[in-house]
Amino acid sequence: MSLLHIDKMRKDYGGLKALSDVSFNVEQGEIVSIIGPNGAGKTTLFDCLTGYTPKTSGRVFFEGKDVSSYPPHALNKAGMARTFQQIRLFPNLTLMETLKVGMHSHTRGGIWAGIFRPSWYRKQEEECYQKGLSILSLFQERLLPRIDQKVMELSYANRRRTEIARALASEPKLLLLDEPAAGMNPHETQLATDLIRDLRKRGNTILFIEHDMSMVMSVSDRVIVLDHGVKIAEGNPSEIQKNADVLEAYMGRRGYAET
Amino acid sequence: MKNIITNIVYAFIRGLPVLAAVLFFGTFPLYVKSDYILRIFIQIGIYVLLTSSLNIVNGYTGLFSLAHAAFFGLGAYGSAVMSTKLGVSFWAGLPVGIFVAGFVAYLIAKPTLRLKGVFLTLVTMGCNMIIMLIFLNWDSVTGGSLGIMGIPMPELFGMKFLRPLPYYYLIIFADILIIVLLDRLMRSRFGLTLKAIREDERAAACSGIHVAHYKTVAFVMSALLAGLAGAFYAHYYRYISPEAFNYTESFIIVTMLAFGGPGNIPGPIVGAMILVGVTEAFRAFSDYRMVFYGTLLILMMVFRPKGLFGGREYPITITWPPVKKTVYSRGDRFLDSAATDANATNAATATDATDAAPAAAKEER
Repeated sequence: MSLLHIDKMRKDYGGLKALSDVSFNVEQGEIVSIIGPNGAGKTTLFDCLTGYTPKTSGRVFFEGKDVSSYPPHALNKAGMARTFQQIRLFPNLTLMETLKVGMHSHTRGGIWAGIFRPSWYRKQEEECYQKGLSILSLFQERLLPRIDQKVMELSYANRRRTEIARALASEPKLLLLDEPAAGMNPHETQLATDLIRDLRKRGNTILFIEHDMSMVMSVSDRVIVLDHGVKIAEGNPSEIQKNADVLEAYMGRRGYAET
Repeated sequence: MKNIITNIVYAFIRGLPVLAAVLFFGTFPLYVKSDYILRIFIQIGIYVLLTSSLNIVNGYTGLFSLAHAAFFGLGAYGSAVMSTKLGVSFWAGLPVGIFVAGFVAYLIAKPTLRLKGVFLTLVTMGCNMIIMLIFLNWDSVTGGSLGIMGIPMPELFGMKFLRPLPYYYLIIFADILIIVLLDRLMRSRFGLTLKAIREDERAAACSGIHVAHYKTVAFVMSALLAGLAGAFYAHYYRYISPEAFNYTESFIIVTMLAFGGPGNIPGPIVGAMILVGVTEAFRAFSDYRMVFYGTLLILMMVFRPKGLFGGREYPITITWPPVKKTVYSRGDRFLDSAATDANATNAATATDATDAAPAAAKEER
C-alpha cells in the first residue's frame, strides 16, 4: 500500500484544463519531485491535494484512506503538511509561536486549559518548546538564534526555512514542499538540498516541486513531469533526463526551428 | 514545603501589576468621596468590558465586527426583561442576558463567518440594524421605542445598591477578573490559534486549525462578554431604550478599540478610559461628540495607525522568575537523533568540548 495514491486528479478553470487525469503514487520513505515548465499545473496539483482549492474530480488516498473530501485542517491531522510557493507565514508571530501553531494537530487544550493551565497543559507547553528547538536545530544557526523574533523580521531565505519548520512541526507523514529553493542563491540552494537529505535520514517522505534541476536530480528517487496539466513522464532522474517528451516540453520540438 | 513557598512568592511577584490595580481601584473611593467620579468610573468600567469583548474578534481573530452594540443590547434587554416582567433578581437576570447575547451571536456566526473582510463587516452591521429594529418594534416584550423603565437595582445579601459605591466595586471586580482571564487566555494555545487565523487564515487552515470552529467560538465568546457588559449597563442606568444599541454605538466601540490598539490587553482599557473620560470632560459640547470622535480617529490613523498600544503585545503580569535568554552562537547545534553524523564533524571542529554537548546552548541572563 502506498502512502499517497492520487487517482485521476482533474481541475478545470472554466475551459482551461489545469490538471487532466493526473495519477501517481508516493511510497513510504521516498523523495519524489514534480517538475514541469511554468504553468504546467504543479502548484494547482498541490492546492487540490491539500484541499486548498476544490478539485473538479479525482480521488486521493492517503495510507489507504479516501481523503478526497477532507478540508485542509483534517488533511494536516491525517499527516500531510505543506509549504507555499508564495510564502504564507504569520508576520506578527514569533518564530517559536509559528512552530507552536504548526503543532496544533498534535496538541490539545482549549479555553479552560488556557485559563487554568493544569499540569498536563504546562507539560505540553514545555514539550512543544523542546520539540520546536529540535526542529530548528535542523536549520542550525540560521533559525536557532531567532526564536523570539517576529517572522516578518526574518530574511527571505529564513522565512522559507520557517515555512518548512512549521510544516515539520506538525509531524507530517508526507511533507509537501512547493519550491523550497525558489529565489535562493546557489549556496542557499545547496543548504536546502542538504536539508532534504537530512529529512530523508529522519525518515520523512517528501513530495516537492522544484525548478532547480541540480537539486531535483541529486535528491529525488523519482521525478514526475507535468506539462499543460498532463503527466508526461515519470521515472528516476537519469531516465527523465533522456526522455524525449520531457526534452520537448522544456526545449521545444527539434523540427520547429528547421521548417 | 520550600517549593510551595517559592511558588507562592513567584505567583505573588507575577501578579504584582494586578495587585496594584486592585489596591488602587479598591481604595480609590476612600480618597475621592465623589459620587460623580464614581459614576464616570462605572461607565468606563462598562465600556472597558465592551471594548475588550470586541477586541477578541476584532483584535485577535481579525474579524471586523460591527454588531457589538447589538450583543450589548441583547444582554441589556435579556436581563432587563427578566427582572421587570418576571421579577427575578439581577443575579438571575444577568446569566439570561449573557446567554441571549451568546445564542444570537451563534446564530449569526454560523452562516456569516465564511465571509471575509468588508463583507463580514457589512453583514454584521446589517444584523445590528435588524436586532435594533426588533427592540424597537416588539412592543409586548421590549416596550418599543419607550424602552424599559424601572429596572430594579441589584441587591446583595439584602443590601440594595442605592449609591454608586457598591456598583463601582462590582464593576471593578468584573473588569479585573475578565481582564486577567483574557490575558491568560490570549497567551495560551487558544489565543495563539486565534492570532494565527488573524495573520493568515489559509496558512492556519493548512497547519491543522479548524478555522470556522475557532472563529465561531471567538465570536460567541465575545458576544457573551458584550452581553455581560449590557446587563451591567441595564441595571446601572435602570432605563434602556433601543437607540442606545444602534449601529452608531458599534462605531463608538470600534473607535475606542482602534484608539487604544487592537490585539493587546491594555489597548481597549486605555482606549475606553480616554474616550469616555474626555467625552465626560467635554460634556458641555456634547453636540460635537461625533466630530471629536471622527477627528481623533483620523489623527490616530495618521500618527499611530495601530493604536496607542498597537503593534506589539504588552503582558499585564510580570514574568517571574525571569526567562533565561538562550544565546546561540555560530556552530552550536542541538543533538537530534537523526542528525548525529552531521554533529560528529561539528564536534571535531569545535574549539570547546562543551560546545558539542547536547545542550550546546550557553545560558546567559
